[in-house]
Amino acid sequence: MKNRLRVLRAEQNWSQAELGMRVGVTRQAINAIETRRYDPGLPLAMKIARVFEKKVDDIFELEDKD
Amino acid sequence: MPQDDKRDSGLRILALMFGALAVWAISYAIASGMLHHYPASARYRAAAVVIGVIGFVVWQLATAKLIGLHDEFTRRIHLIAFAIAFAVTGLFIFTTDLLQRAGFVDYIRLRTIWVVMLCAWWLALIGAQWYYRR
Repeated sequence: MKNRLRVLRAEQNWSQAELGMRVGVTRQAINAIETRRYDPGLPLAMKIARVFEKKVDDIFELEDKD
Repeated sequence: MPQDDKRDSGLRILALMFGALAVWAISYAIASGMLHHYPASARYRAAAVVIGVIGFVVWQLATAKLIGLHDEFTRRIHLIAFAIAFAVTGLFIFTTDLLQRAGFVDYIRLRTIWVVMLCAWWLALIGAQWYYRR
């Protein structure tokens, strides 16, 4: 699954740790999502969308292989 | 304050972890002592088993609680580690069973299987963390 997390985080000038704190996960979790090694569950995806004031679809995008 | 909450949560996790480990270690020591000092008494031996098992169950429940306190990503890592430990332990038991029946190895102690499972669990934890962090 593709995501725009790194770009959105950079726009807000947040570190991975800061974003992690805002959505209640570790910095490692944010890093794993950004590097596309881990796809978040729906609650976490919705929390991420909420802190960026966007829809989940605006941040995460399904690929053909998913 | 989020930082205070984080620190309190960390302290709570540490207290739970070390508390459960202490309960396990103490109950195991008591059980071992009873088995060593009262080998002739069936009542004492039964009590030793019950005490040892209760201590271990406490540790298991505390470990499950600890894992549940983490975020979904950390829980995923633990799930992967448990799955790998289960597979490795299953493979070890199956292989040693066949090796015993084939006459290549002698009796394997249950404690050996236990150590293999613990090692597999910890190595899998480290491996899963490494996979996601590289």
